[in-house]
Amino acid sequence: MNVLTIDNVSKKYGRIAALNELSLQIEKGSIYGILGPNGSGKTTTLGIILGILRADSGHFTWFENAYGEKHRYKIGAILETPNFYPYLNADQNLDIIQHIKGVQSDTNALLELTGLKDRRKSRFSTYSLGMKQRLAIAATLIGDPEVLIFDEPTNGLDPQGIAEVRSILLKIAGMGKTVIMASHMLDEVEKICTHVAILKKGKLLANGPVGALISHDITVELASNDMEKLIQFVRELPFVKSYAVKNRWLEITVAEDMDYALINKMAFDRGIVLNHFAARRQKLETEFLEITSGKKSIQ
Amino acid sequence: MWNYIKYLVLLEFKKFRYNNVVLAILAIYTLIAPAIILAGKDVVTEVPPPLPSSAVFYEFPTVWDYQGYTGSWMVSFCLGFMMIYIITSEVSHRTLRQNIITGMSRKDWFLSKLISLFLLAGFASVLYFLMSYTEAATGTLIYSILFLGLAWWSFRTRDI
Repeated sequence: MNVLTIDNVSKKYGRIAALNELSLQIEKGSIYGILGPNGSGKTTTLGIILGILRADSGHFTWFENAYGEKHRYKIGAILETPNFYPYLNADQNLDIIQHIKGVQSDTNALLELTGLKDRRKSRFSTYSLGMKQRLAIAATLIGDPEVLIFDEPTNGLDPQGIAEVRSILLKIAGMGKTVIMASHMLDEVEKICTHVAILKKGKLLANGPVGALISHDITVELASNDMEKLIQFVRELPFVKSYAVKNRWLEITVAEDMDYALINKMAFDRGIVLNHFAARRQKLETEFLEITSGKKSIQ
Repeated sequence: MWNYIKYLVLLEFKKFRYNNVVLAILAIYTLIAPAIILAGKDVVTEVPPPLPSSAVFYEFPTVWDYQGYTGSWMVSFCLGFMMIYIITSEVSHRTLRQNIITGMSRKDWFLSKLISLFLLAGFASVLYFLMSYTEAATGTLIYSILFLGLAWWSFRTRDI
């Protein structure tokens, strides 16, 4: 079942096209990451599907229309910043959300999960940014929603706060809910998400399962005291797909099933002693940068 | 339908029952405004020529005209401001946005404010009816003492 279907949605702010004919399908149970540089239309997309912004054209359907107009009661979402009544405490703020959704949730357990139990009686305005963000996450879980939407949940947090929010998100990802997440944190998206969509200037550049976007080639870093000789050697190797000279080392790409220890041995046989040898898999970050900068085209 | 209205009104109540601005304005309106109006009988003794004396403010049937006039100013200063605050604070705190994300429709939200507005107007009318009816000068004293007490109590416990 498709939880959300977005069909050719466009939105303009004046002359600037924030979204350009975006189409997406999000399946039930998937953890969907929406990636893109600043101003690429991530928040606009989430605003439109949550009914905050009006799309200029195109339409979207939640839960294949199973809940009609009441679909937002089945969604827990935070958009941009945590928005609560600053003069009310955590309990009272969560109570308002329960009242709107018409449900009674175990707020004790939610505050326990987000580590706010001892500050539940403090006013929201006295919270630190990390606590505000965690309260927002607790609020999204009220009423056991089918879909959770997070918009840059670690934006503006210090490393400690990021670690706290990250561990909560990992717990939620383990609950088996559908999660839609706009994010800058590429390594997080890589770890948590099952699917990714990459946006730039309102256009969908790529989407699909995380595994399909990341190429399986392995990057090997090589360095030697005699770099000239090393470059010469690498050029002659038949299995090297590409090579690039970096600041302090040489980067070569080889196929996934390549036994790259062989390179070390061959270099030694040629009289080149390597002083740096490291193999790594392609990261989503490199893919993301290549895709958004237009260096890599999508099939 | 009554359940729907109850849902909306209770929601507004939960949002603003601990709000200092709303509580202060309600206190000023219910405590000091009647005090000012009731003070007119004793303090303002000289009135311009067309009026015979300040007693007309408190006599039937003219009491309805004069108290209604004064009351309309009090309502626009206190409750009018309060209603503007109740709506605009939700925009500036971005809770309007969050309410809609949480599940309310735009119609629900609009109606919740409209119904609050009517309830507030009803409350003001009832209070004015009672006040115009109570002509007693002692009312002045009671209201003043109550208000001063409240002001002092809130001041001594406040972070400055």
